[in-house]
Amino acid sequence: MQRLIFASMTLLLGVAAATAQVYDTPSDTLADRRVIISLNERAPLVPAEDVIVPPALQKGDLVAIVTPAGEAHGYDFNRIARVIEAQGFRTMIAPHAAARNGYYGGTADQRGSDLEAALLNPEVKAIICSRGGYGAVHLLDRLDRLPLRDNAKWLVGFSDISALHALMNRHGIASIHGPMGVNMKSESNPTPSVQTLFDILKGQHPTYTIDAHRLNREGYTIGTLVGGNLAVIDGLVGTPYNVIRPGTVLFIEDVAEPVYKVERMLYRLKLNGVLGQLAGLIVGDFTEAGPDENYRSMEAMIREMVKDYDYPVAFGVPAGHARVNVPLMFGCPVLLDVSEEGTTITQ
Amino acid sequence: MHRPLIIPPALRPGARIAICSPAGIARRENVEAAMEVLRRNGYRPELTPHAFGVSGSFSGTVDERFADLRDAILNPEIEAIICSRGGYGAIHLLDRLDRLPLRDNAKWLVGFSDISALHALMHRHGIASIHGPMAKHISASGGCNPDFRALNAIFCGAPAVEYTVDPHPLNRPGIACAPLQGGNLAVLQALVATPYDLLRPDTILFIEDIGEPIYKVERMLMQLRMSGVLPRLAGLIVGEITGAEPDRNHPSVESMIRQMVDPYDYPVTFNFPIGHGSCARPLIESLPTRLTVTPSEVRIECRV
Repeated sequence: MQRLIFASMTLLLGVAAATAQVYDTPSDTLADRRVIISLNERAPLVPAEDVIVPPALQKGDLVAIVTPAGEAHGYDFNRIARVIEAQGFRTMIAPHAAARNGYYGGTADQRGSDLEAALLNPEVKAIICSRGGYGAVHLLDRLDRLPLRDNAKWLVGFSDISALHALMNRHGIASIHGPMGVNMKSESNPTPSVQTLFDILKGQHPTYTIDAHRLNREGYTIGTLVGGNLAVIDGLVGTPYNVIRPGTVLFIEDVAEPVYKVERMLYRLKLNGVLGQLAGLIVGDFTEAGPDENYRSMEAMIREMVKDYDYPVAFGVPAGHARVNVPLMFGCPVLLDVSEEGTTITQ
Repeated sequence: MHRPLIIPPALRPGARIAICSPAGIARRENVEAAMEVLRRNGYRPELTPHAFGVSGSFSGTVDERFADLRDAILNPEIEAIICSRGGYGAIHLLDRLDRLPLRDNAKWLVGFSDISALHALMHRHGIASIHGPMAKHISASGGCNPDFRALNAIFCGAPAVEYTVDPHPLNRPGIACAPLQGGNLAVLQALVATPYDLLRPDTILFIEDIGEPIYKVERMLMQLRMSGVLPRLAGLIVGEITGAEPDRNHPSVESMIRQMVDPYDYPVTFNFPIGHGSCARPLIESLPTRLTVTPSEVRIECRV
């Protein structure tokens, strides 16, 4: 299995880091963490032949802002647009980006037509979702019928947007789990996560070096990176949009799920054998989840769930609903190196 | 597994019934009251060793809970197993119970909520089981309640279980004849794509849940739609979905569910008396069942 993965990819030597940023994440229940972000001009890993990595954006390229899930009625879309434009891109705000239908950013039809138009518009080179919430799952069957590979472009978001990553990855198109419109507040001084997102869109490839976590399991692996918000991708298991498959490196994060519910989601993966056949596991932030009577932390439960296996497991990776949310490229290869010194994630 | 369905035999007078706690910590007063009801009806209820165990939020470690259930299943003197309560944790036992010769020791297993995971196991092995009252509901009104009366009738070998309930404004009329399958939606959802998946097409599905917001129930139904199960059900029985507050999109969880099944044409009934409220009418999992929904009434009939 492992041999096969190596055979389908070529490992190139990375060019020395062009830029490096050091950033402290807020303290959590475990320990303060630090992430060093380095950028390479060339991808150190070549994806499998049938995976489309959308082309890098050029100056003046068009970026669409859409709201496929929860409503963003009160958002300052002009500010979001200015942050994106400050990077040299043009922007297009989808017709229903600020619409409201109950909890949703428009009816399923409005949200679907916005996203469909952006996906099919050849001028649009990237789609940045304004926020998550809930509702992207409503659009999957409709968008699944589109010729997505003929119009491959970057799709950016996290949380509920994980459902759309599952769609893109099903069609063999890489996509970016990362900051959204709601996170774009300053045009002159974007957060490191937002800046790294723009760097990726411009064709640079990140390496993250993260402090060691006491629950980590050391090891080195290469596989296709998939995942996102656990509850969202858990809701896609057993459907055509399931991304949690043997041989992948799985990234998970979640917000406000009790430990036992996350355990139940992982139990499914244990019972169907997938948990035992992952190539690696990257655990992001599980925010608003306290200890319970059974486990002193979410992380301790997760570590217990994977104790029978031997792939590398990295905890404390700053991605998810916390202040730092480093962008990850889904649907394309990742090199995960977990050692005594810390965790390195290279794409 | 295409094996003939085993319907566990009726209980003999004085039958021994094991009371076990495969998930959360049992409440002693409920269990003792339920045992008293069982004794008054001629049974000999007995506690498994860890029926009142405590390990974190669980009624014992995985080993302890498994051992209790294993011993109750394999002991030929035990004629039925009633779970004290649900909670969370039955899923921990599935892989180990799955390796036992369950069909050689078929007996009624009773419970709901988290115990739905054990019904999924029984279904996988082709054994009918009872989604029905546990300690709290059995002991209600000292056993003089319709849940226990129906359970007792099944234990005594009643040839059929029939319920007639009032219509609900959101019902969709129709007739369905198919195996009955279901339980707690969140528990069954967690078993999708595992060997214990019992959410399948061509069944009459019954669901109940507690404490899930409407959007999470919707997400589970979306999953069933996209996996091809929801469009191909034979019928749908919705019990109580407790604690799902109205939200900005749906006046009730029932109206959301009705909307989700709008594109299909099988019979649908709401407010069936199962779930986390005051009622837990026993339904027999896996048994061929007839669901008749008319504007004036709803009938559920299964021949044991």
